[in-house]
Amino acid sequence: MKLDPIITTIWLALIITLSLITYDLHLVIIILIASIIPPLLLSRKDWMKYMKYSGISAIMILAFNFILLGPDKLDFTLILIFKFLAISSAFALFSMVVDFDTLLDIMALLRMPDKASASIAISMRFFPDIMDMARDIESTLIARGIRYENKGWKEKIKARTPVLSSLLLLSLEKSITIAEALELKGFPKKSKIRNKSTGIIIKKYHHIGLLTALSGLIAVVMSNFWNSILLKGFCCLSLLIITLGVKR
Amino acid sequence: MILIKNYSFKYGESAHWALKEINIEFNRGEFTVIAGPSGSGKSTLLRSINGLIPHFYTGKYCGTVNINGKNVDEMSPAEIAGHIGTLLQDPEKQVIMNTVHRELSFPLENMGYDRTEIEKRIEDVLQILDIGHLKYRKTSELSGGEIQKVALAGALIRHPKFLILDEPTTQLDPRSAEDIIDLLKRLNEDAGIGIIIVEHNMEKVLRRADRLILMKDGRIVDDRDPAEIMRRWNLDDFGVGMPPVSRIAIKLNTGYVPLSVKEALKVICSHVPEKANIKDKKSDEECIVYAKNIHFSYGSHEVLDGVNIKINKGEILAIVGKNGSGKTTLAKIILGLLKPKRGKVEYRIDKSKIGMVFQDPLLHIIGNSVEEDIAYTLKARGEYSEEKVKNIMKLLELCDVSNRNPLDLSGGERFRFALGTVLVFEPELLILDEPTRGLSWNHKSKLISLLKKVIKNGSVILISHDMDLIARVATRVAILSDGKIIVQGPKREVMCGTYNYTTQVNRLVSACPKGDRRILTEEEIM
Repeated sequence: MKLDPIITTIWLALIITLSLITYDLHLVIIILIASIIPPLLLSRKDWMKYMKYSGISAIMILAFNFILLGPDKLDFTLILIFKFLAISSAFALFSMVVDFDTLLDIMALLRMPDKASASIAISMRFFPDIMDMARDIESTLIARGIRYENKGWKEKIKARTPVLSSLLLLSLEKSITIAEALELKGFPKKSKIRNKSTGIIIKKYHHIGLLTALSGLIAVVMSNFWNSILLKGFCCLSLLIITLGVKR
Repeated sequence: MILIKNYSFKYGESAHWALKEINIEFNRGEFTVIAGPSGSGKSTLLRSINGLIPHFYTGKYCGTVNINGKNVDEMSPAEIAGHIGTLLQDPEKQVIMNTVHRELSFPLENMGYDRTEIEKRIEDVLQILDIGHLKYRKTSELSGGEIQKVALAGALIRHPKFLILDEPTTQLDPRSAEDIIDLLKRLNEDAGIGIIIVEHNMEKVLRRADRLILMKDGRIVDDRDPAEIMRRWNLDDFGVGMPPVSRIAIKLNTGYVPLSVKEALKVICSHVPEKANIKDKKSDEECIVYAKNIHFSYGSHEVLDGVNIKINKGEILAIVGKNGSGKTTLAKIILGLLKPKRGKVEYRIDKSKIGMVFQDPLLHIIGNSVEEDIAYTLKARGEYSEEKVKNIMKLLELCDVSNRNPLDLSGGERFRFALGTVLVFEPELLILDEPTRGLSWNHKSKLISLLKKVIKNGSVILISHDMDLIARVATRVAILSDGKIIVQGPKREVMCGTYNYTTQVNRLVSACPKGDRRILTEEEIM
């Protein structure tokens, strides 16, 4: 199945923004479901690779909040975890569908400032690299003779926990190298020219998608002031339209 | 012209000056090699020339670095990039765009060139490097040699007057490394580009150089013709690996320092023994791992196509082959990290007794200190013993840095640290992937004696492009090409008489009218 890169970008932006601005548990659950459907339709295996570490982090957030805040704040903790998983899942799909060149072209089409769009595109390019790095670090556990094939999930999670701290260190190293490489390539640019390399163009339905996403966002913002079921329903509808619209 | 005057530099809050009172001049059309031990300031000098210092790395400095009469402090990174092209040590990290075309157009867009000029330059640079076929390829799908050439194209695309390179051949197989150095020499001669190169492997680079700069402790010790420098100094003291033929000639007091096999023929052939005193360790016939008819592919790209290989008890099996030939993939299949598409691996030892040290030692970091990290292996396996941790640190000479963060270690220490995290559980089969990558000569020599010391009973699979290392430690060698093991056998049977998969010493001996053709190392001549 092929997904439309421009609608996928709008979908990602919508999922992130909705996740950041809403604290309604029902709405957050719907956002989470919307963030899971397209990646599952595209490639369950690839999506699982990305989500493995998000799952571990989610369990850690749950345990941490449970200890610090106690069971009374469980709904807050769940909202936090669902938001985190929704954003992670959306990012996973995004990096599976939209490559660096396409994103750069999309942002140029959306007339975003070059310095900002190149920086965002490079950060997004970094995301799959981190996943590769995580897999490599995990491989070193096996290389040290630490094998968990026949162990329970508790042991598996326990073994993967140190991978996260190692990943953080190596990501910092990697970001320094990328920044160094950019400096050597004379970034940021002097003129407005940025070649399009993917031949991507904006079509009518992309405008419709953008308008649908914006109206969904406005509905959520308004629902913070008027707690109306109708507004939330409208937001869910626009989210559903965009989610289904990612299919090319 | 690049003019550096009374220049000293130290990073951040560091008390130690990385460069001290540097006075030097680089002219267009020169091919300059900078050599010295780790921490001598070579990379810092390159960073000062290409403007990463002070624009990216900050610190305290005095003196000036001028490019064409203008101080780098007053030049923007884009302006400096127009004069100086840079190739970093790890090209995979330097190439950040998705496709080759985008990678090459990006720096030109940053400089404000119009589309026609951008396309013209891309076409031109791809042709000069003979990589026109890669123009629209994804950078993630390129082999090590190809990506190195793309990174070089990216450095050349702005038509720099100087090209500076930090160990450009570290990750390449012998053939690709020769290709890159030849290419640099061609750019130097045909386009007059000044080449400034930091390199540990003098065998490939020195005979093309006009000038050798020796550095130690942040200072320039000497700067003149390479052969003259080798007559004056013992380069081994500077952590620099002389070409083996040069070292032999110096030890034999021939009065002439050859830089290549051709030059060495005149002075060394008469010293080559008819029958060298060679005592190779024989392999045990007891097979511990048997990889049988292994097939593997990444997507549609077939990497291994029916590989059959046995690893015997107590042997050091070296696997060689060009970049992308599937050596690391085969190792990962043997370790159990990857599943073959067809075929199987038969284990006659406990699978959890196989360990591997990866190319990048930093991947082995889990804890905050060397000791904590080594202990982690045993704790996670449920076999913790303080004594074992202490013993392995002593064996690998890591006691002095036991409390240091592995990120703060030097190149040689990092490899020993990674080796420690694996050796501590006493693996019966150890896989080493490019252990000498990026190591200076003295670190490499230490590593060779260390490997001889630690590998006494276990078996080892050694993946390397370093023929000198293989000649010194391996018992058997297998050559992997086009997804198949094309030849495997005792090291001398496989290596002797080839051009690519042998040492410079053996190429010299093979070219001499007489002498023992089995000789692989300089010690065997001496």
